[in-house]
Amino acid sequence: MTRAIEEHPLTGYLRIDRVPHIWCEGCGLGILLNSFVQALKDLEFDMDKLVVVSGIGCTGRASGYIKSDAYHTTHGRAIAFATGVKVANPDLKVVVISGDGDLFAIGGNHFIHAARRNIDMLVICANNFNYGMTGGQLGPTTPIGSRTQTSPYGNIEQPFNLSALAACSGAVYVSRWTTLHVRRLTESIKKGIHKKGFSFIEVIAPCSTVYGRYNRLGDGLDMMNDLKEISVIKHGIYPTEATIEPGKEIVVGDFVDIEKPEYSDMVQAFIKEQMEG
Amino acid sequence: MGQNLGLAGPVQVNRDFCKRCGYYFEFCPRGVFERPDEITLKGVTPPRINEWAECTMCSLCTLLRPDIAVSIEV
Amino acid sequence: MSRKVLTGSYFVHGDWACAEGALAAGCKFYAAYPITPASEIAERMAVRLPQVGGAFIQFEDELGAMAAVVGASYAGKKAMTATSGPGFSLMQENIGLAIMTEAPCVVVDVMRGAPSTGQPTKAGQGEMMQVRWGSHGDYEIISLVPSSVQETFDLTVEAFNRSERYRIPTFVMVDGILGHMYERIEIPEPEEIDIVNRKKPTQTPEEYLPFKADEDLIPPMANFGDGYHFYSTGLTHDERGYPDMSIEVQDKLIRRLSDKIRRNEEKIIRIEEVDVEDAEILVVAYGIPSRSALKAVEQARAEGIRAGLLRLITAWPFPTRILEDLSSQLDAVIMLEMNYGQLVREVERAVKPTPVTFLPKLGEEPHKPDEILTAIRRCSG
Repeated sequence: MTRAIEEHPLTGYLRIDRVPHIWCEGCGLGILLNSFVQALKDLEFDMDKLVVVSGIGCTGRASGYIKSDAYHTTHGRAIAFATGVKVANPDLKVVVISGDGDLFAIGGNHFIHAARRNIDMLVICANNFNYGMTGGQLGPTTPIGSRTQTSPYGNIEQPFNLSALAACSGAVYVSRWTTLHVRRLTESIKKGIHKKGFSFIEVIAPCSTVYGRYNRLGDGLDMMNDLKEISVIKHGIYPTEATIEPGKEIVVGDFVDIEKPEYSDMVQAFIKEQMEG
Repeated sequence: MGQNLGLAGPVQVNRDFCKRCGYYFEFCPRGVFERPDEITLKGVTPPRINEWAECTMCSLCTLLRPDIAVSIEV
Repeated sequence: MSRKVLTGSYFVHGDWACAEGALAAGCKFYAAYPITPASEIAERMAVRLPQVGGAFIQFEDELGAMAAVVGASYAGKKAMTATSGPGFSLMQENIGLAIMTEAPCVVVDVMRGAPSTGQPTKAGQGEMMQVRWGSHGDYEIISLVPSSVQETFDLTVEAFNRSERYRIPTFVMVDGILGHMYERIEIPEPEEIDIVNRKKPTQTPEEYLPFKADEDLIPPMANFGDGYHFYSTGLTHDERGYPDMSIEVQDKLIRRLSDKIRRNEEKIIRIEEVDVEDAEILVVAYGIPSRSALKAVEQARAEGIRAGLLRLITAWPFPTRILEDLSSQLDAVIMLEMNYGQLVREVERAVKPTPVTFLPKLGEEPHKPDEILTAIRRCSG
């Protein structure tokens, strides 16, 4: 029995004509994509109302595989572009999928300000501890001591705790999972899509081709097994307490889930007031 | 273009998309998959179905498949 | 005060007129970062946009403001930002994105003294080449240069129309004097203002190829949320919008992005000619200096010198052919700019071998009519 790929159960959600995707063997980004698409399917989400935006880098290619309105911006500007979309048409659900370098180095300013405004947007960040697309350079989440192409003697810079940064900047929903926690990740994505406000999901993803190789972490399977060993689920703790030390301990879970007035709603409210007044 | 390696079961494997992550046989809770000896022209070893009877259609394999190479008929 | 078009007579500054021009054109989204001397546009938009059902957002920087404008454009709104030199430099990145993904939008640059932080409160015309070449790669843009407060209103409307027509970022280059200068303007009735809206696809979502151009080289544009489920990228892309790094696709795309403007140059280019028909000495100017030039040309004519004025209304595309055609009748050309030599190079190229005298002005003050008249006399003598 041979089945045409057009009958793939996720065909309606994926641009199957673009698969196989560009990601390396064992890369965690394909898992993140599955999880996102599974969440859409579980929610029976109206694809006419979805806009997926990404920046530059390996994760930046994610938007190109999703069969909704989608846009691949310049490096670091995914959240800024997405803010324009959401404010211009508040009926749309805007999801940003991008990497740690794109969102937190070159795009860091837009991240903290979008979180501060509490604009309705789900940001999913694949954190693989380095710049994969450009060949494995030091990134804002590279752990102390890790070797990369641009930290050949070991990294001496303190890394960001992304979930903590999101929470401290004002995000109303924050969770962290690894690509191994694929069912829990899917559930968090569903929550993030439904949540009104700025939601952030950090996904620890193995990059065996560059980060894994320079740090002798083995192949993707070894890195996934390592994540299995070291990850600890702690729901509800404030993410500044959620350790993220690859090789030692990575705390995952649903960290923040609070309510705050949402930005695009407030914009619409005073537009209504001004137009009637 | 999809090629099913299982003969009658619900799990479909697309050899063209597979890049050999190895996650299915490592993390399938029921040991449905096995590592084949065969290497394709692209140098990958797509998973082979070992034991259908064990499959509970939990679909973990379809979520953990980074290459969009496995689907399951529910 | 909730009307979209404030028909009537007003005594206002250029920034105000620019904001009202945008609203009259149908602008519904404005994102910007405060900067002198463009902040008054943001302040006016913050008051007025909600009154007409539009959204204003103050961004964390100009990188983000420009990206948001492209996003709003894709979401179906007419979108604008305004800035000055330092912010204009930051915007170049996403101006390139707007060019590559063919997002209609308007960027206003109220030009001050430069480079770097320069003279924030003074005027200049220092971004006339940056607007043309500031982002990386090969492309064409449209830029308009008003010389009065009335024209700032009119050309802002025109900028929206052209950006929608050609799916290209369109620039209004206002010098800092004009931005803060008060003049009386007349705003027409809404029905007297021509409005152009982007071409929408007639195909079904299944048939729609987002970057397949019609014969005019411009692809119809679906908006996010219309159900077309299309993908757009700043990477080189094929008609489906999918990334493609091949020679053929790059060649075809880059040629089309430029040719959609080059082939329509005659429709796009606008100039004003005063006493040019029999002129032997031609003064070329734009923006505020062109007003001094007009006075000088009138005085020269009174003295019997055959002088004429060519005022640029579009700086880009540059009216090279018009100047080429005139060059055979000219003995001399005088070019005025509030910079140290930018568009003068284009003029020199076009009128060769006619000699060109360049009168630069740096540090706020525009040219005085007397200085220009002296130059005209010298050329005629």
